[in-house]
Amino acid sequence: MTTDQATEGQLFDDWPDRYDTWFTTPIGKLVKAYEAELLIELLAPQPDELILDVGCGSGVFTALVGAVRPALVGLDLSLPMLRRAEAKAVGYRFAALVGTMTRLPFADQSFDRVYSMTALEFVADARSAIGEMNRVTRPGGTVVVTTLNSLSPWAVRRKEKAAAGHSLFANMTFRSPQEMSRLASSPGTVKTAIHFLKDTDPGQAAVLEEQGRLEQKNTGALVALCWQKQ
Amino acid sequence: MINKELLDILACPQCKGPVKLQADESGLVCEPCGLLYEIIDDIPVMLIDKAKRLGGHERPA
Repeated sequence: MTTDQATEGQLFDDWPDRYDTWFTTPIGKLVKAYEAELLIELLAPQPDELILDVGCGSGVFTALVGAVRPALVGLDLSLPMLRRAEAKAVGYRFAALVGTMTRLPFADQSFDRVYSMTALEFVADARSAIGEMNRVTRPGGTVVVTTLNSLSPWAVRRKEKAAAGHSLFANMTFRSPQEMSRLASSPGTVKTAIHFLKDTDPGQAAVLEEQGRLEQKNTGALVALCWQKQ
Repeated sequence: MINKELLDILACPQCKGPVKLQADESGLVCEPCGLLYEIIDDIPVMLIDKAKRLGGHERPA
């Protein structure tokens, strides 16, 4: 682990409350719902499969995938975040581990499916992280990696916040759908979601989301890359 | 408690080789690397920089 990553772990240790609270706001709830929909569509988790959540954070999406009844492993740099994830996963088959995305602590071909929701933006060496996710997936298994889209208006705002001293956003690398596509270990699918803004009227957000989906816009705030391990 | 299913797939993040659970379940050891990964509140900390170096395996930084 590099010094940068150690700092990163401490950075997230201060965030569980603020991160979870955002997903309870009206627009945050919609963001979570649309992100979850895209994750489930691409990952297609099945009961009793062994699934890895890389950068599981406070377990927002861990709990969602867990509802399908797989055996889930959640990996994150932050111990306080993992304790949150454990609390959300009560009643599920869930194991938490502290680890870093660029050096996953698993044997080759361990998992049926591997996913990572908005964690790659905190990793400078995306190729290593994606290579590691591919390594620990069994042949024929699915990998889904989502991150923040550099082409989205959300990225512009976050870069402005970073410039103004926002500690979390200052550590982020935004990537475009094209960049994500080039990172795939095997030819993959790239989609974006969240075609509305943080200050969009929640009643209008569903309309904008549907429109963005139909037009297959590449400017959604979330970019998702999915491939099958060969 | 660390379950067997997890133990079967856990590997040293440095060499990717298997790790052994200590008898008191306080940590996971990678013998070839000479590293001990602590388990805190049932959560293994699988970070090379946080691992303890075991005797006889000291390496220059």
